[in-house]
Amino acid sequence: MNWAADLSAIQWVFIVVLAIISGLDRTALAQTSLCRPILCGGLCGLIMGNYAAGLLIGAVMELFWLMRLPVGATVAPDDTQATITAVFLFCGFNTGLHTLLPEHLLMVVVLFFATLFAYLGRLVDIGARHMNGRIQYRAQATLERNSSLYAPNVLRWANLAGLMNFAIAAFFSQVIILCATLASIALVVPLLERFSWQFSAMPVYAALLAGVGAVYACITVRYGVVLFGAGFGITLLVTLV
Amino acid sequence: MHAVVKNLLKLNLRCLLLQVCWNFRVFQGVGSAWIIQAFRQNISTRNADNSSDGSSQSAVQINYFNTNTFCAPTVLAAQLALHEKQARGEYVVIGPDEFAAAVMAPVAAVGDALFWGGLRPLAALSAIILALHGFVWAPLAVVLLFTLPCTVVRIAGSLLGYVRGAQVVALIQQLHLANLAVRIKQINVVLLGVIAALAWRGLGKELNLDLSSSMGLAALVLMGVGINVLLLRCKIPIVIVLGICVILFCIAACIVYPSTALF
Repeated sequence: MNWAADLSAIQWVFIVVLAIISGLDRTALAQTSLCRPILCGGLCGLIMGNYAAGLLIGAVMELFWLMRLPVGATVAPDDTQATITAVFLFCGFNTGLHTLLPEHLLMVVVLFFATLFAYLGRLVDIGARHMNGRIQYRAQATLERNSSLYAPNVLRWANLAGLMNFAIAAFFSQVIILCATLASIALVVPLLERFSWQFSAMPVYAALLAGVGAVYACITVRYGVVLFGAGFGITLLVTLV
Repeated sequence: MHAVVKNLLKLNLRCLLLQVCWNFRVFQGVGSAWIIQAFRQNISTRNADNSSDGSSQSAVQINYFNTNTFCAPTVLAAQLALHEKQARGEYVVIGPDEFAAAVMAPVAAVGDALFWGGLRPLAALSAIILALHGFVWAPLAVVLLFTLPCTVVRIAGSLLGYVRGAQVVALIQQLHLANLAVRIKQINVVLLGVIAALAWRGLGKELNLDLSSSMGLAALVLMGVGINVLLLRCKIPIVIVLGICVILFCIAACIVYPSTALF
């Protein structure tokens, strides 16, 4: 395996910061959409020097997980870290002449494995939330033991601990997804290299259509088929005219 | 007036950290307790200064709290307004904590449907369409269509919650946000059709197809989406559907267009 990208220390720092900040944005901080694949994918691509690829991977990943809503106790697979991993590995292994696999094949391979291991990130996230349960339990016990304490201070410390907890979880989620995806690519590349691939962008478009299906499957509205057909038909007509 | 603006600003900034200690026991309870407790403590300190009865404080309880993050400032500001009313000795229809407990679920239902189920997909799908058209600034669509409206709702909601108190629920009801969410979802389905057509256009260019062959490809694209939807509605994981879709699509294209060198 040839890692072709030559990353500077600043790029490494930016990648780690992006992984942690966007990981925090998922639940803990503000929900500004920085965690959405299309944003963090584009930013990761920008840091890695291939913005267009980052945006495309982010767009496909966005469709896969768009309808996994963070409602109630539902914890969605970690699409943020999966996207950063996919963009990071794609840009790292696909630099000019030193590409590991043909460009579009590599993109589909990293997309597939990052999507697969996004579920591991979900487990880390669930673990962090259970840890937060312990923090809350301790904060409550402290408040009950000593009612003369200034309650907002105790709660502030509990929140700070929760923030650290989520930040560590985001970092570990990134490391786990990255390692798992990297190991899987190392396993499949020797198999794929046996064939002489002359890949077009077709598999990437197929992935995009899988994403469209993933979103459509979760939206239930009246006349859904008609509306979808209208969008498709009008664009088709505009393109042909 | 100055104190109210300062309080609301503080409340809004703190609401950005509402979920910072999210857990399966009390959900956003730690965050909401921290936000409200600081104000409550100030109110009780003021009251203690005014009346010298020196009543003993009971331990703070971290209660279950779970609502939509973008609607939370509305609920918490209304709760704060009720606290202040109660502290002033005014009559309140419902207690502050009871109010929060009563409205958080219905507000969450409306907010989740509108923001997570409607607005977020709308922003993301618009950004994807722009990205497929080659717009470099496509991700900004998410900021403009989702982050910005959410910020406006947070700020305006906290203001309305504080001014109207418990009556803010009636206002939310009057806005018919659930209907708006349905309309946005319908637009999202149209946008999905646009993305599928853009994929068709991209494939057509990739395979250098003429008009009649393009029509066949359009049918192939629609069939592909249909099969994906069926598989996903049968609870098959997206990663398997992705694998199946990529393999089947390439095989089908090879059969339908044998002249095209795919591999």
